[in-house]
Amino acid sequence: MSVVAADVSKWSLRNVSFELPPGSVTAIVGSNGSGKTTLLNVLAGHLEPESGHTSIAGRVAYVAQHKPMYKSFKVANVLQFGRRMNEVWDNDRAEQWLDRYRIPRKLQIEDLSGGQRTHVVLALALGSRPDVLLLDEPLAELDPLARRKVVRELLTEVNDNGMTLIFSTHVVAEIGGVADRLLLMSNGRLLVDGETDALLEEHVLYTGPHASKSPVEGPVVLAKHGRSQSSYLVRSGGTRIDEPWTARYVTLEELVVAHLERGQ
Amino acid sequence: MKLESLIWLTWRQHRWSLVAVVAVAMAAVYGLLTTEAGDRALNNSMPIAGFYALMVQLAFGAVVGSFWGAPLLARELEERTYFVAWGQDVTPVQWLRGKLIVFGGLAVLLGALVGNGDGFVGATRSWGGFEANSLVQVGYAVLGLSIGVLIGLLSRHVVTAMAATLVVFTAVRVFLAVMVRDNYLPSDRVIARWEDTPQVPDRGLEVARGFAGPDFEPVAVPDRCVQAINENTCMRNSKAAIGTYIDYQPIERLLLFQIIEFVLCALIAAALFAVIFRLLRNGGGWKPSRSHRRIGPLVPEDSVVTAEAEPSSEPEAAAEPEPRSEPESEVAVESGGEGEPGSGDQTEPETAATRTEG
Repeated sequence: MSVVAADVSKWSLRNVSFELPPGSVTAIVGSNGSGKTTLLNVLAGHLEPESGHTSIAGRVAYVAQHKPMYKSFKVANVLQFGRRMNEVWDNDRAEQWLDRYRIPRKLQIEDLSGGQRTHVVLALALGSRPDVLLLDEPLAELDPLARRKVVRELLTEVNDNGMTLIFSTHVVAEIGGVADRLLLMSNGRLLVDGETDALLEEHVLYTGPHASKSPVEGPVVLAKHGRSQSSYLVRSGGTRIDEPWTARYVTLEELVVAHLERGQ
Repeated sequence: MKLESLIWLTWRQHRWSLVAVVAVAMAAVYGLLTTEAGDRALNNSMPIAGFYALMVQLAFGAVVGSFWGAPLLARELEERTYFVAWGQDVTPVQWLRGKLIVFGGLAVLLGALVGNGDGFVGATRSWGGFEANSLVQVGYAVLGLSIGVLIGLLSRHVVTAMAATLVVFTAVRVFLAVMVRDNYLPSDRVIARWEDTPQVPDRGLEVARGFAGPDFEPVAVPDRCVQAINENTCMRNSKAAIGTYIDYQPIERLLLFQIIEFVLCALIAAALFAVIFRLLRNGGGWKPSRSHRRIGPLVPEDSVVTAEAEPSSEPEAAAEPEPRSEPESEVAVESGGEGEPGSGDQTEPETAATRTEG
């Protein structure tokens, strides 16, 4: 699938192909302008790819990055809107979400804070009982406490209802222990696509004496050379190594950063 | 989707512009009807209330276009709330159809009322009061609405769309009135010999006048007569013409012409609405979400071909090294959702698989 940015002779997405299993939680990670939002817009059906296609089984709900909502609506009107505009509507689910975060129903959307607005938009998305929920930087405007709570609640929804969750972020710390799949993007290309655990097991950082060649077989993600030391992050699948080299697994953050650095 | 829901949505979103336009229109109707004096018109003068009401009538189509039509799509696009509006189960086409039924219905109703008087002489039908007619005003209102919605869709900006709608609608109206309207049907002609002057029959609309030749057709004035002190005398003495003529549209055609103008406006509006729905349905960048996507047979050949074609259209792609040795196309991790514990709650045993092809 490829997308050309409107009016700009630039590919914002190129040759992106992936397939996600139901009930999975996928994080789309990438630097600014790497095409995360474009990809989500295409998946949500708001943007048509130049070539290729997407297909999603079931109903989709999409929470866009800027959390759009009619400013003149009261919170209660948003629920009414969801009920009237959807064939399937779970009012309790939406109400519960609003109750949980104590969103006043009588206020207009324009009087809410950014975080409160996020909750209203999330409540609308969840109330429509989507099979696939697309979230574009959902946690950006939430405080650290609410972030954890929202993530936990969303994971509960995934587990209880078999919902598939796809969210984008550029904060790697947000995906640890949350996402079981990772889509790593850079410059409109898909750098890495895989299960988080498998990726972490595959990537090994080898440190040892200065060497111009990787000590083990496998694609080198990133090589760094100091005065007397070299380190290679290799997608080796966990090959063991002898002295004087040492090997260790990397954290998710190291992995992501290394790939992004290489992708540039 | 139920029409009632879309009526609710339209009212909830646009209630102030709905109320404002309806209020102005009703005030105008009141002004137009109460000031009509008919033959009792004092000293041939017009009451000021009637004048203002007539101004509203003159601008009614433009008001509908600018305040109802233009923001309808432009506001959604400008504030990006189309993510909300078209991200539900209602498709964009259903959504727009519902809103247009509300706005269009009201525009027709108000147009019929606003065109019901002329604030002055009233029942006396005259060419001067051509636009003081329900049919004509309905046509203008529908035309204004369609122009506004289309411009809103194209400009994606509310203020631009409102201003552009005003300009375009006015231009269309002026063009119709000045260039087109007089020629809906071939005009009648009266010819008078030199001894007489031609008279337009009662309340007829003069379209053209000049000198008539021996075959009763208009003749051009020769150069020497243009320069002459008295054109008439010159034409007569040089026997270039047999007399003078006036082309006119008789008053009996007034209603027919009003119907023609209404039909013309309605046809243009219908064409514009067709364009709007077409733009909204395919392309314009906004595809309906949800409803059009169902998991189906993938056509890899198709997508492979299109992906192959890309580097040729952009040379730098070929030069760029592949960032990873991992094969990028067709990374497939297969799904198996039926065995999930959670899938029991779902109403349909659909597998929620997401796949994207390059």
